[in-house]
Amino acid sequence: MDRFLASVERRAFVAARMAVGNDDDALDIVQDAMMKLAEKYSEREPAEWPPLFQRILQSRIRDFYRRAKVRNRFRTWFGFGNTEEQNKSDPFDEIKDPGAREPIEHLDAKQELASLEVAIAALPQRQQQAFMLRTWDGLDVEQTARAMGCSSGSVKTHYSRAMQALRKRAEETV
Amino acid sequence: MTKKDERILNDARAMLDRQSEELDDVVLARLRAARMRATEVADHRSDTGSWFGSAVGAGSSLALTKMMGGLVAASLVFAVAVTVWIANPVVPRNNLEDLEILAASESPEFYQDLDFYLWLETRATRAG
Repeated sequence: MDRFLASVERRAFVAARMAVGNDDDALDIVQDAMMKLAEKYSEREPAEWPPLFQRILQSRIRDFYRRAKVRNRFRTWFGFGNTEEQNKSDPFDEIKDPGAREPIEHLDAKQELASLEVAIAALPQRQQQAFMLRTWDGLDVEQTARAMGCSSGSVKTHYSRAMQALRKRAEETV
Repeated sequence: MTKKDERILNDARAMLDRQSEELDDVVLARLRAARMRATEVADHRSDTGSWFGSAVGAGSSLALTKMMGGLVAASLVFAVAVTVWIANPVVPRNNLEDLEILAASESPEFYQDLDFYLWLETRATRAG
């Protein structure tokens, strides 16, 4: 179990951070997913762990979004709804300055990757999940559907919309 | 897949790979701590599971463990019931006699004095 978790923890953290936008919540999500796997499925065959872990992780990310939605609704009801939106800085401002002393081509490549990161982070949650699982984790449509708890058709739709958004973003940045 | 799509995908993979390789020490330490806690839980569960497994001579899945728990509980209840029954064997031996008395037409006083009549009869027989 230790070896398996060590092999997936970094990727799980990056995926969770991409989804929720900060380290603390991402760490909580990964920790919850690890605990759930250990508590419920440690006695299963190790070959079953990767899809189970992926499913738990994606479900935790969905729970985070649901809680955030409820929180925001309460904030709106009680009249202090838009403070978060107002305080939210422009995602482009958070892109690290690649450094003026670096060669121009490196700078361009880094900026492009940073821009892509912002674009992926800005995708709607389900599109982002489908994109990350298909592209980075290398899951096929069926496996992605199982991890996301939805149909294969939905996965195809989410993935195709994600690609469309990223294509559009790429055209805008050129 | 177009070349443009291929480039987007390759860039995305490269960016995500780089991010996972460049995590800071604090994050890595917290991930390690979370992993250790989860591993401890898994180890504890596998210890408990193997105990059950060896006890029944079969696999130690959750369903099997629950089934064994139910079986043990049912056996205990049965054992307690048998013990209590053996310690207090309630045999209603006098119930039929009571029923005869209740159904009879004689007054209850007759049965209260029955011993006296029996004694009187015995004396009369001896005297005779």
